[in-house]
Amino acid sequence: MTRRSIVLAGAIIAVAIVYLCYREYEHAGELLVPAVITRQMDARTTLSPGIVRRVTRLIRGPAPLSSRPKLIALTFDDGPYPVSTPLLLDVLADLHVPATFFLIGHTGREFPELARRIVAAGDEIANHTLTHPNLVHLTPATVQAQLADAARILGRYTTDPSPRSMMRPPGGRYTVSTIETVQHAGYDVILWNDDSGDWEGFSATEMLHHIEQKATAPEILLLHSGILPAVEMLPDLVARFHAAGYTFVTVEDLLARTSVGSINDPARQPL
Amino acid sequence: MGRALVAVLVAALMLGEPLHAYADDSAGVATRARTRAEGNDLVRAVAVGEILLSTIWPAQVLKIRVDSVGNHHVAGIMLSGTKFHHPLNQAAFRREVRELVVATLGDRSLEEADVWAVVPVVVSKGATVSGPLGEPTTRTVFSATVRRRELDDLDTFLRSNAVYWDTTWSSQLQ
Repeated sequence: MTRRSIVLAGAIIAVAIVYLCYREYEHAGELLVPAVITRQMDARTTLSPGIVRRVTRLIRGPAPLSSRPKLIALTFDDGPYPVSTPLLLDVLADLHVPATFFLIGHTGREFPELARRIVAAGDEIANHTLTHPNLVHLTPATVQAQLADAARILGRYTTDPSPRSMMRPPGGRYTVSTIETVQHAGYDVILWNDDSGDWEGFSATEMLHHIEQKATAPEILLLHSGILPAVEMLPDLVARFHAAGYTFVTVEDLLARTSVGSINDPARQPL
Repeated sequence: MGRALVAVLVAALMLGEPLHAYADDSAGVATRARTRAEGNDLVRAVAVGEILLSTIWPAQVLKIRVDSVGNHHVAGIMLSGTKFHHPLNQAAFRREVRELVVATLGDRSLEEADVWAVVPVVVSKGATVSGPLGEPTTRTVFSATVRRRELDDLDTFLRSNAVYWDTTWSSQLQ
């Protein structure tokens, strides 16, 4: 083996290591980045699974479709907001599909009737903190207060434990320390397998195309309240996933019907 | 006779204080309706705006939004929670909201009229106010999200806990 070959091989390995390390911090739907971190899971191991597991997963590739349930949970962050949340609820009701709303506590207090309507429609509400801060910059005590205050407000609207047991960090930003704090407060961290990109200003058509290409089984799909193209594409999105054999569920239902391991290692199959 | 007349006039002023005046400038009304209209259904938003803005309300109408998806059409009216055209107490504010809702839902295609009032928030110097993690620059101090079905007993609805009043703000209404 020539010296040039050795240098080239070393460079390739170095690039691969750097790439895999980088992927660790890429969030949605990326290799080995979990969509769900329950309070029982070890955050450090889950978020930094080590080189052997990475390489193994890389070689093995995604799980086969036959081994994974075709379940999809639509999740909407933020809100509730006037005008857009009622429209979203109307469209979801027309389509007969449930959704999970990660509500901001403060906004939930300002629009109580909309929060009640979400619950009355059979949808699920969960905790997206009190004021939607970047949790990475907060102390553990402040993170816990953000969750507890939001849970107190959202808990008025539902008898379901979800505002006190399921949370999503604003912006999907977290550190291992954040996750450990949240787990210690009794929450499962619900992230996502795919980000619709609605917050990036995509049109309904662009979003739908992206979601179809990135479809996983099972899937937690990130969407946002207050973004109209996301509502506009829902009829087509639901039709496409139904045609592909998917069932729409809430996050709670998803966790009841399949394992966290399955959600965190889904099959990937464009529709 | 003179005293009685004054008493009647004072009583009339106290009991029947006009809630609003009427804008007499139709071109100005149309312009304001266009500039304050928002949403993906601007035609409806402007039409609602032209109706609402032909009245000078005590609490200023800042934005009229109409969004439509399929057969669903929802309107939103954002009010200013400060600098009223004349002093408002809670009852008078509720009365304005009632009139705004009724006028908005006069468009039979609209299923819902959401009304909310905001006040500015002082943000710390250097704070990020845009983007998903930006600090808000306004605070909602009132909200009523009214579906057409609520029109049947709107007064009761507007007095229920379906309506949000910021306690500090509402206590300052006079």
